[in-house]
Amino acid sequence: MKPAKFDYHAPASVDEAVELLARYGGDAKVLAGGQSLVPLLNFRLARPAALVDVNRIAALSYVREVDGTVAFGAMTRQRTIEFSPVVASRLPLLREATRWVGHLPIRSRGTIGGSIAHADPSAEYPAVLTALGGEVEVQGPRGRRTVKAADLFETYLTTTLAPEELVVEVRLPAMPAGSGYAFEEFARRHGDFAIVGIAAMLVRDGARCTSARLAAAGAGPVPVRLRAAEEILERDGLGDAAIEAAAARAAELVAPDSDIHASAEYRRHLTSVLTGRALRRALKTPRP
Amino acid sequence: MDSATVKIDPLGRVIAILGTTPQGQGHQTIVSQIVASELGVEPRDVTVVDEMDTFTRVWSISSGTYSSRFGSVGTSAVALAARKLKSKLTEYAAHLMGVTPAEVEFRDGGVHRTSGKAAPYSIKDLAGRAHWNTESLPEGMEPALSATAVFGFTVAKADTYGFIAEVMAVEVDPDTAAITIVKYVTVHDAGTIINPMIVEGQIYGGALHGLGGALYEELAYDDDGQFLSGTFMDYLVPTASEAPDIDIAHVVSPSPLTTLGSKGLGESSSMTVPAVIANAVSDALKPLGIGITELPMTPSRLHALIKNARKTR
Amino acid sequence: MNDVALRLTVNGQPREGRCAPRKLLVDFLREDLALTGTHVGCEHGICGACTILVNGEAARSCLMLAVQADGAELVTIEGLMRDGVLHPLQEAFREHHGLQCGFCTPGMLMTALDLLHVKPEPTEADVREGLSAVLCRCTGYHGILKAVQAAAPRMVTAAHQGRNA
Repeated sequence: MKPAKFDYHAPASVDEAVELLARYGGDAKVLAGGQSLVPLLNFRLARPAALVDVNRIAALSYVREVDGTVAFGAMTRQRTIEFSPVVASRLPLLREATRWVGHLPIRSRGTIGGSIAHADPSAEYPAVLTALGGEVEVQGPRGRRTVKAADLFETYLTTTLAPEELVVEVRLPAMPAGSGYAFEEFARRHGDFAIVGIAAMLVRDGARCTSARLAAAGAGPVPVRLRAAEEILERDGLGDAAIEAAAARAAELVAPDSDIHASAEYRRHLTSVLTGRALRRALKTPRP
Repeated sequence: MDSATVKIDPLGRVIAILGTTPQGQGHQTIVSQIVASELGVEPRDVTVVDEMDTFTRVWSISSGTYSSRFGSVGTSAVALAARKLKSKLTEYAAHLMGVTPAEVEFRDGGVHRTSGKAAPYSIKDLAGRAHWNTESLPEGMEPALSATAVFGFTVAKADTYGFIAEVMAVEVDPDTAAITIVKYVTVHDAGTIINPMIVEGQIYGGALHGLGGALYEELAYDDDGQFLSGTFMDYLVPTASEAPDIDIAHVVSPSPLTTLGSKGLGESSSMTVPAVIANAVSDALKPLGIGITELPMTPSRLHALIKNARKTR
Repeated sequence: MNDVALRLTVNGQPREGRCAPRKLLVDFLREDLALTGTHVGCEHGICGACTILVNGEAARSCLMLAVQADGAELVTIEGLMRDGVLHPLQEAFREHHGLQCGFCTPGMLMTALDLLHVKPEPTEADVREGLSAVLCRCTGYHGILKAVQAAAPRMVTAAHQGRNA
C-alpha cells in the first residue's frame, strides 16, 4: 500500500520544526529515519495531516564527548554510531546493541533520536538509555527541557513528550574505563525486534561490584531497569551465586505480555536466562 | 504432458520453444543444454523461448511448471523434439548426398558419411538449403526444419517420483529452547541429473522452505479469527543467517519412463525437512518424554513443552 | 498538497522530476525515471528487494519518500554494469547460481555491494549477517553466499586497479 495524503514540511532548523509541530497541534508526525514511521504510513496505520521531516536539519547530527558524557544529535544515524570511534571507546555497550538494530540498510537511515522517541519496548536503544541512565534533551514551544530515561517511556510506542516537542539530543554517560558490558538478545531471526534483550554494565573494584546496570527490552510495555537485580550484585559481588540470584530476581521485575511470537511466561523466563548470560559475558568484556 | 518445439531458422540458428513458463527454475539453461547435446552444438547457440500462451502452444490440463514436472516431463518433450529434428536433418542430408540414411551419421553439429571422404553437411548449410530451396527436400518430406513433440504419462504413476533420505542432528538449548542444526545430510534420487548446479539450487531452496515451515512461518489467527501474521514482521521467512549448511549427495537410478531418465526434484526437501527436524528435536527431548506433533516449533512453544514436561516428571 | 520538484543524481546522471510528497522513492525510480530494475516487495522494509545506495549507503527505497532524495546521489541496480561489462558481484552471482527467479537479486546485489564496501574481507558469518537484510525464497541463500564470498577478493583487486567496484 501507499501512504495517504499529507502536508510535507522539511524545516531547516529546530525552531521551525517545533513551530510546525505546534501549528498542527498533534496532527503532525516527525519524520526522522523513517524506518518505523514509513511502514506505518504505507499500511495507513498512521494517517497524519502533516509530516515534519527533520532530515534537513544538519545541526541535529553529531557525536560529541563533553565532560564524561557522550551527546548525540537526535538525527545521528545508527550506522554512524556503529562506526563511531567515540562510541567504540566510550560506549561499547551502545555499539554492541547497535549491531542488533535491524540490518545495515536499516541503520543507514535509522536514528538514535527516532528510535528512542518511537519507544518500541523491544527496541535496543531505549534499553541502553535505560540501563545507562541517560537522558534526552527536548525542545518545545516553551523552550528546552531535559527528560531522564526513567521519566521518558510511558507505555507501548508512547513517551511522556508532548506532540509539539522534538527530541534534539540524546545523552549517555560514558562507561567507566574497565567496566564490563554485554548486550544479549534473543530474537526469532537475525535482525528482528528482540523477544527479550538485556543491556548490562558492570563496574568492578577487585572482587566487588561497585555499580551494576541492567535493563530489559521486550519484557513489558516499556524498557525496564532491573534495579533490584543490580542491588544483589552490588551487595554480594559477582560470584556464580550472586549472578544466579540477580538473574532470578530479574524475572520478577518485569511484566511482559504475550504476543504472536512469545508467551509472557517465556519472556519472563528469557529475562532471567539472558540476564545471567549478559552478566557472565560482561565479566569478560571490559571497556577499553 | 508437456510439449516442445525445436526449429532451425534460415541462418542456422537453433530455437527451442517451450509449452511452459519458468519462475527461475532454469528452463533456458537446461533446455539449451539438452538441445545442444542432442544436435552437437554449443548451449549458447540455442535460443530458448521460455514463455507460453495457451492460444499459441500445444497444451493440456497437466502442462505447466509445477509439481517438479519440468525436470521429468518437460525435458522429455524437449529431447524428443530435438531427436525428431535430428532425424529429419539426417534424412535430408542423406538425400542430398544420394545415399540412404543408414549410410550417414549425425555428429559434431552436422551430418557425416559413415565411410568415404564426402564433405559433411553442417546444420547451417542444411538450414540454408532447406529454407531457400524447398525442391531440394526429399519427396514427401514436410518443408521447414521444425519438430514438435508431446510427452506425457499417467500422473498417478509413481515411477518418476524422486526419492529422498535425510539425517539431521540438532541441539536444543534447554534454557532458551532455541534449536541449532548441527548437521544436515540429504540424499536424493532424481534419476539422471541434467544440471548439477540447478539441482543443488533446487535442493537448497526447497530445504529452506521446509525449515521455514518447521520453525518460523505460520498463518496465525487469534480466537476471534483475526489474522495475526499478515506482514513480514510477523510472518517470519528465514534469512541467510538461518540457512543451515547442507551436505548433499545423490543416488542416480534413471527412470525408465522419461526420455533422459530424469525424475522430479524441485520441491523435494521442502517436504522432508519439517519431518526430519521434528524427529530430531523429538529425539533430543526424548529424556523428557516430548514428541513434536505441531509446527512451527517456535522457541516459545518448545519452552512451554519443556517446562511442562519437567513439571510432570 | 502540491507536487514537489526534485533534482538528484542517479547512477551518475543528473535527473529531475515532480511528484506528490507521499510518493515513495522506489515508485519514483520505477514510474517516473523508468528504472524498473529496483523491485518493490513488501513496502515495509523487511524484504529488502528495493535496496539501493543513497549517498553511498544501502537503504530501503520503500521507506524513503522521493522528496527526501532531493539532492542525493543514488545508485540503483542499473548502475552496476559499466560499458557493457558486468560488475564483479553480478559476474559472481551468475557463476555461482546466485539467483533463480531474480526478484530479490537487485536488493541482494546492492546490499552485498554496501557490505563489501564496509567489510572488504568478510567472513562467512559476516556475509550471512549482512545478507540477512534481504529475503530470498528460491535459492536457500547458498549460491548467493558463495557468490558474495567469491566477489569480495575480485572487488578488492578491481578497486586497486581502478576498475568498477
